[in-house]
Amino acid sequence: MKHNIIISSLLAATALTFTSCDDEFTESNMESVEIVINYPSDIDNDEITDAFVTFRNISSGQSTEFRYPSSSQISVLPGIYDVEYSVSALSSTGNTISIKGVTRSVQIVSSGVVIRIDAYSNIATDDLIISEVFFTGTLQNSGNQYNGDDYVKLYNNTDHVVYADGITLFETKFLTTQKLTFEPDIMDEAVTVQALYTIPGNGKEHPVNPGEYILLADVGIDHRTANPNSFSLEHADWEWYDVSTKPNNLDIDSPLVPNLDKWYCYTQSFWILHNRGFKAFGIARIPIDRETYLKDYWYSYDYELVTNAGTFPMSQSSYKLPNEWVIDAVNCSVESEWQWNVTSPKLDMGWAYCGTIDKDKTRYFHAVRRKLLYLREDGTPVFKDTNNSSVDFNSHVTPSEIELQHTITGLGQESSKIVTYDGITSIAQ
Amino acid sequence: MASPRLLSNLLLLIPLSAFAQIDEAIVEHSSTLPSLTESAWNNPALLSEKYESSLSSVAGSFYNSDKERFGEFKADSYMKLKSITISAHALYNNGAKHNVRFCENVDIDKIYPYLTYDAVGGNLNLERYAFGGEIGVKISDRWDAGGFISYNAGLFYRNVDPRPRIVTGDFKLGAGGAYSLNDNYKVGLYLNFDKYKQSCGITFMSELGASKIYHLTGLGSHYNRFAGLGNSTYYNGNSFGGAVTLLPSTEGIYANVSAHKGKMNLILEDLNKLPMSKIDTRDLSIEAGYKSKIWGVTAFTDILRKHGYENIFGDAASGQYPQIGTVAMHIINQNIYGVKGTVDLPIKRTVLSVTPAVGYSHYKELYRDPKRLLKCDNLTSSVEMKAISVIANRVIVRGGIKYNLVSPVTHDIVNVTTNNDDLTNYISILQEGYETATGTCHNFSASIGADLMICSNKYVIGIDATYVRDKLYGNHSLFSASFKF
Repeated sequence: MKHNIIISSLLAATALTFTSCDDEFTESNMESVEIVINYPSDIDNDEITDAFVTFRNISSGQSTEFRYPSSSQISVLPGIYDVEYSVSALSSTGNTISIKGVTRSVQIVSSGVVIRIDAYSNIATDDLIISEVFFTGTLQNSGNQYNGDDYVKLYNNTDHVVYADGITLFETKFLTTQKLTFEPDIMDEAVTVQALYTIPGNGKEHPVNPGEYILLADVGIDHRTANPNSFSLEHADWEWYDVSTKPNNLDIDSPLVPNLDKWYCYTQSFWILHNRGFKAFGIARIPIDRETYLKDYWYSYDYELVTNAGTFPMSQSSYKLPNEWVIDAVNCSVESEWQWNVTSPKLDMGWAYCGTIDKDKTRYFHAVRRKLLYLREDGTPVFKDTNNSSVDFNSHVTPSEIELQHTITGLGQESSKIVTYDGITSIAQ
Repeated sequence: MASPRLLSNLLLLIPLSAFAQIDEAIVEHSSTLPSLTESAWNNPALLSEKYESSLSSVAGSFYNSDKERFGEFKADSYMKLKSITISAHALYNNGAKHNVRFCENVDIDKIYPYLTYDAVGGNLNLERYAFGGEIGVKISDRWDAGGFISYNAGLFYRNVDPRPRIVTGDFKLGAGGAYSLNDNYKVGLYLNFDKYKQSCGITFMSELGASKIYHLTGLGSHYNRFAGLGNSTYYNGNSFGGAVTLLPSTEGIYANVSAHKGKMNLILEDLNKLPMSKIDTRDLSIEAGYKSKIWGVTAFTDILRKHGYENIFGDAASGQYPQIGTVAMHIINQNIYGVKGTVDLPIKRTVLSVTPAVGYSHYKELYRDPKRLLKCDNLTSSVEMKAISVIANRVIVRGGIKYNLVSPVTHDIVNVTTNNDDLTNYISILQEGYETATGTCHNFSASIGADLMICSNKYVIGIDATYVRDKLYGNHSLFSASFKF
C-alpha cells in the first residue's frame, strides 16, 4: 500500500511540475525595419519634426504608428504591410505644407528590411476636383442591373472661377483587384488609361464658379422612363456617347445633353464606368491636341500571367497619361478584392469603395462622395482634398442625384428623404 | 422472420456469444467503477478487463436541448468470447441545430479559433453517422493485443441564405498490447491515429445581396485580408498519440499516462486552396489512483496547449497568393486537475453508487496583435448518486441525480471588442460566454429508467429519461427506449 501511495504521489507531482507555467508569446520574432524617406526637393529636412510612420498590417487590418525618426528601433510582426509617412513641414518658400508618402505591400519576414518611401507635398489643387463618382448604377424591379445612369460630378473647390474647357475624364486600364508586375513600369510617371472623354471648348467657354458642380453623365435622359427605380440625368452638363459597332449594344445619344469629345475608348460598343468600381477614375488637362496625343502616347507593356497551368508571358497596349497632367484621381475597389492602387501615390494614396465584397449587390444605388471639410461664409462647401481617397471620400453612400430627386435608395427601400453635402452631412443642418 | 438479436448482429457485423444472466449484465454495465479508469479502455488490448459480462443494446432516443434537437438510433455491443472480446457501435441521428448565431462550422473544439463567420446564422439541419469496432485478443498467457477502428460522419445544411453545407469525417485507428505482470496487474501500451476533415461551402441565392463571410482568428479578431473571400473552406487535420497504462484486475493501483499531438489546417478552397492558418495541439493526461472491487479513487490532470498560426501571403498574382511566412498568433493554455472517487454499495438486490469529485480548471487564451486575453480559473465540485435495483427478477429500475458547483477563482478579459458592426454579434456571444463562465454555476441533472425482462429473461426492453440543467453548456433532456440482450 505504501508503495502504491508513493507511485501515485510521484505521478501527481510530475503532472503539477509540467503544468506550472503557461505558454506565452515571446518578442523574439519581431522584425526590425529601417525607414528611408525621400523628400521632395523643396523641403528642408531640418524643418521636419513630429513625423509619423504608420504600418498597416494587410493580413489583420491593424495599424501601428511610430514616431519618425524613432528613438528606438522600429520592430513589427512578420507580415505584409502598407507603410505610410505623414508630416507637416516648412517649405523653402516658408509655407507649411503637408507631406505624405506611401509604400504598399512591403514584405517583412526578416529583420533589416529597408523601406524606402517617396514623400510628396500635398498642395491643394487649384482646379476642379472629382466630388462624386456613381459607378454602381441602379437595379430594375426584376433585380437585374440597369445601365446608363452612372455619372461623375466635378466641383470647383477653389475660391475663383475655373474653366472646364479641356478637362478630360479618364478610366484606368489596370484593375485595382489584379496586381501586375509590368514592364516597363511607368506608374511613377504616368497613368495607363483606357477611356478618355474631354469637355469641349476654346478655354473660356465653360466657366465654373466657386461652389458649382459639373455633371458628366453616361446617358443624359430621364432614366425613370426605362427604370422607375432610377432618376433623370436630363440636366447633365455633358454625356459620354459612343458610336457602337455592335448592333446589339448601341449607345443612346440624348438630344438634350451635349456630348463630350471622345478621344479614345477601348470598347467597340459603349463605355460605362466599371460598375464594381475596380478601376481608378480621374480628370486631367492634356496640354496637347488630340491627334498628337493619340500618336505619341501609345504604350505597350509586358507582364506575366500566373495561372494554375503555369506562367505565361503577356503583352498589352494602351494609352498613358503623364501624372503632371492629372488634376485629380480616385482609386476604387472593394475590401475583399483590393490588391493595389493603379495610380502613383502622388495622385492618390488611398481608395474608396461601394460594397465590401466582389459582386456585392448592396453596392447598387451607392456612390463615393468627397467629404465636406467646412462651409464658406456664402454657404458653399469646401471638400477635403489630400490626395488620399480613403480619407477624402465617404464610401458607399447615397448618390447626390438620388437625394436631390428623392428616388429610392435601394430595391425595396424607401425614397430618399434628405439631401446632404457628402452623403453624410445633411444640408438642412 | 429474423429474431431481434439476429437483426442487431447483422447490423453490427459481429458474432453472437454466450450470455450471462442479463440482469447481472445490466447492473454490471451500470457500475461507475469502470468509468473511474475510463482512460484504460482506450487501449483495445485491455478491453477484456472492462466488464465480466456481455451486453448488447439497440436504442431509439430523442434529444432536445437549447442547441440541438434530434432523433437517434443507436446500437452497442460488448461481447466476451473465449479469448476474444469485441465491442462495436453504430449510430445515426437526424435533426437540427438551433440558435446558430454566428458560426458556420461544427466540431468547434477541433477547429477553434479558426471559424467561418457570418452575421446571420440560423438553424442547421443535421445528420450524423458513426460506426466502429474494437477487438481484444488474448494471444498467450501473458500477452493481449487489440485494435480499433471507427468512423464518424456528419452532414449539416441550411436551406435559406446563408446556405452552408458542412460535411465532416473523422477516422480513428489504433492498436495496442498488454502484458500481465502477475495475476493482478496488466501494463498496456497503445498508439492511435486520428484523421479529421470538415468542409464548408456557403452559397447565397438571394437577389438582394449576400452577407459577408469572415474568417475568425480568435477572441474577436479575424483575418482581415480574406474577409469576404473564401466561402468554400475545409479543415484538414490529424493527430497521433498513445498511452501507457497500469491496470489492476481486481484491486490495486491504477495509473495512466497519455499524450497526443495534432495539427489542423484551414484551407480557403476558392483561393486556390490557400492555407490560411493552422493549429498545433499538444495534450498530456496523467491519472493515478487506487481501485478495489467496489470503490476507487483517482487523481488526474489534463494539460492542453493549443497554438494557432496564421500564414502570411505576398501580393496575389492571377488569384494565387504566395505564402511568405507564418506567425504564431493564438495560444490556449488549459490545465485541469482533480480528484475523483466512486463507491458501489450493494444492498440486497440494489446497488447504490456515490461519485464525488473536486477539481480546479485553468483556462487562458491569448491573441497576439492587438493583444487580447481571456482567462478563467474555476473550482469545480460535484457529487453524483445512482441506484439500480432488480425487483422480482423481472424489473430493473434505476435513477440518479448529480449536482455540480462551478466557483470562479480568478478571471480576466482584455480587449475582446470590435469596431466592425458585422462582428458585434460574435463579440457579444464571447462576452456572454465569459460572463457565464466566470459566475457561480449550480448545475444538476436527474435520470430515471426502467427495464422489463421478457422471453424467459433473455431479453430486456427499457425506457430512460434524463434531464440536465447546465448554465454553461445549456440544458438538455433525453428520452430513450431500448432493447437489450
